[in-house]
Amino acid sequence: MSDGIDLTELRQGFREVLSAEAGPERVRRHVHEGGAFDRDLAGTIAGLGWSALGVAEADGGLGLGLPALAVLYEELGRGPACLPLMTTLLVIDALKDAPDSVRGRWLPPLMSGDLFAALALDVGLSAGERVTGRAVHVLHGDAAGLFLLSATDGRHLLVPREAAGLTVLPTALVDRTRGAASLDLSDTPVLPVPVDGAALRRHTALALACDSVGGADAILEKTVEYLKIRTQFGQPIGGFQALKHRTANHKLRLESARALVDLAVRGDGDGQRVLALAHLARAHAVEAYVTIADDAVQLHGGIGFTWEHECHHYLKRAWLNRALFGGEDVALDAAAALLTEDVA
Amino acid sequence: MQDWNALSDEAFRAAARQFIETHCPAHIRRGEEHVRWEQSQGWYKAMAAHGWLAPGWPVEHGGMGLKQAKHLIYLEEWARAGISRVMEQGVLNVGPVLLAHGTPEQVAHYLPRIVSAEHLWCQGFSEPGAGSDLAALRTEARIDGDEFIINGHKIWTSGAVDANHIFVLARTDKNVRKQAGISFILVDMRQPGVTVKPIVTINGDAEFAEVFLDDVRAPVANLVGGLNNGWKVAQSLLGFERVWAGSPHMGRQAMDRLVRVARLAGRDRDPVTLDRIAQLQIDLADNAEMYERLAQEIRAGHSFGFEVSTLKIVATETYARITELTQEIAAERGGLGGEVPFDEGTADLLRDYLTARAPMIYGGTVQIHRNILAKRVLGLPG
Ligand SMILES: Cc1cc2nc3c(=O)[nH]c(=O)nc-3n(C[C@H](O)[C@H](O)[C@H](O)COP(=O)(O)OP(=O)(O)OC[C@H]3O[C@@H](n4cnc5c(N)ncnc54)[C@H](O)[C@@H]3O)c2cc1C
Repeated sequence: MSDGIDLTELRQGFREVLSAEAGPERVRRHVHEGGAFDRDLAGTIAGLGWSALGVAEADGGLGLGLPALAVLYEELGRGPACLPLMTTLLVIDALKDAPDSVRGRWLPPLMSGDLFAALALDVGLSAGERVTGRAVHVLHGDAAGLFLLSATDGRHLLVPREAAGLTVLPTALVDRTRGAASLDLSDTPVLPVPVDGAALRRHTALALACDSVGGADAILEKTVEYLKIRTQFGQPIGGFQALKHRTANHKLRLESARALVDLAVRGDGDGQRVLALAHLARAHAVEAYVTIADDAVQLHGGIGFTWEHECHHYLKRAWLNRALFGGEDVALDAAAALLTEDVA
Repeated sequence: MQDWNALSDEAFRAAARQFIETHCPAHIRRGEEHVRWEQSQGWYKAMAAHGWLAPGWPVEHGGMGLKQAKHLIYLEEWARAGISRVMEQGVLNVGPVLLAHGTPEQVAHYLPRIVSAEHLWCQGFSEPGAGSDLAALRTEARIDGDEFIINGHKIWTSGAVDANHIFVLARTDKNVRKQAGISFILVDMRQPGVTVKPIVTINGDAEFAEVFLDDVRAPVANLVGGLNNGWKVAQSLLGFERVWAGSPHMGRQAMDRLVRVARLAGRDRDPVTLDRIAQLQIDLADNAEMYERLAQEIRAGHSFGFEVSTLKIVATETYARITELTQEIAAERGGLGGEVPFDEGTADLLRDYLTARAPMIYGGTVQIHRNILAKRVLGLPG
């Protein structure tokens, strides 16, 4: 379990690989060429076992828990990495209660990095073993070979990409470091699996929260570096108090978001409260991310407004994090509902 | 000849609107900040043909002799119609600067060529090392007989990819206070030594560029306002631009869209969203009122001072916040790239949002305008 592993070392490991294999130059080139997911990078990462992090040891994984996954989400956000890992890890985790046959069939290719998975929440689908319906803006749906659909009627359904009657249409996103697709299902055979819906939602919210903390941290660090080297009026612009206070406020924002995210990842307490906390952590972290990435453009001046500079990779990723899985307001509404139930 | 200034503001507004409705093609009315010359030249030439290109200029130079206040009305109508800026530097800056500081020969030579669209201008002020600290600019102009020889590197030059002329600030004396050694020079870009390298913006457009000047020549006669007097010339030119930058037109357009997106996203009955929209509407109303007061001052013939910085800050930041809320309440649609279905047409909300970041940077960043406000208006030390 995660108690046994040094998270700092783990983080160091992720960061070394990502900075060597997926540095700013590589991200820039990839984004410039159209973006979505970086196949070559996915190939490089495949052998490293990152997808197996959360899988039970009995199933051939490393058996690490949420705190370790949180570190990976954060590092992927820092990159920002052009990899379809977030939803793959979410689906892997969701399958932990699935029957042996399902785990035996799908976990090995997912763990080895040969296969990616995507996830759609709140999908309106017809009843029965063959379903018809539509899931839009499915994160990493472009890269996925397996889909987990959480239907509005409470069922969780697995659908392989080759399933009959399934059409996958890639969608353009504001953020070119990731891809998405819309799924059209027409009388498509599906496999129902037992999934803890609340746990899946919590994990999804936390993954977005961690990605946001990682991204905000990275762009704040880069901005602060810039303020130290850019001179105007004969001094580094970071020496102007107006900018010091702005960046100090960003640091406050980031650290308070991080504190809430850490608390939510630890997740002590009853299920309702823990889920509400995850939604709040997501909203808080995304807010910090958008604010910091937005001001990074301003603090860089003209260069921040260019395609060449990496500011916009973060800013656009921040906005996508806000929009994903129903959007931030859905998260806040859900948290409010859970918390007021608590009070009543 | 029609005396436009004699018309009431309302009558003038109606005339401006009618001209726009009759002559402005739909493809440059999408509210984009800049469009390329190939798309915009038809409209530019239509304005010139009907006398509506440079309404602020005197009639004898192809303008309408409009007072500034009426000119602002025309620009407001542009904004209302969502018209993009089309190579406006010649009309908005070069013409007025030459009328105020130029020689009769400069006026006679350059103004007609702006109207005929033979000369397309861009503004070469900023440099890699001189943005907020513009006076630190290092582009140098050395006099060689009756010519300047200019060397330097300009950056963020809007419209440089389409322009064939650039007005530059260049250092002509290195041994004085930095503001006192700068000259304002008109340069023909159609010569060896001028290299334009497009820069792609955050929106993926090639809207601005770097301009490299290597032993570029300009006649000494192209100096505007006297040797080493360029800083003052440039300051005078920024005045009108700042008034316009402080008008609520961008915010108003963004507000229209915000309200439509709220409706579309089903948030128009959500009290939290409505409160936030209302708050922005109040800010926009404040902006409009502040702008109106300044416009009245201008109408009354009074000059204005550094207070114009307050307008610029309020207008650009309000506009930026409106686009931010729009993008936020668009929820999942806010994550989709490019043109997405919207009302009966399509919209690119992220583009709107990103476009709204630029006015907080160009024409002096909002931080620099706060410095001006603190020092020049409040009298704080520094
Ligand atoms: C879309 C766009 C179009 C443009 N078009 C043109 C054009 O046509 N012609 C032209 O000449 N220029 C143009 N510019 C350049 C623009 O004027 C400069 O970008 C601007 O002046 C800022 O300079 P900079 O980019 O060097 O940023 P910097 O001056 O390096 O500023 C970086 C950050 O430091 C802050 N800062 C700097 N000094 C201080 C201080 N003393 N106190 C507090 N904060 C400070 C700034 O506010 C900013 O946040 C354009 C810029 C953009 C974005």
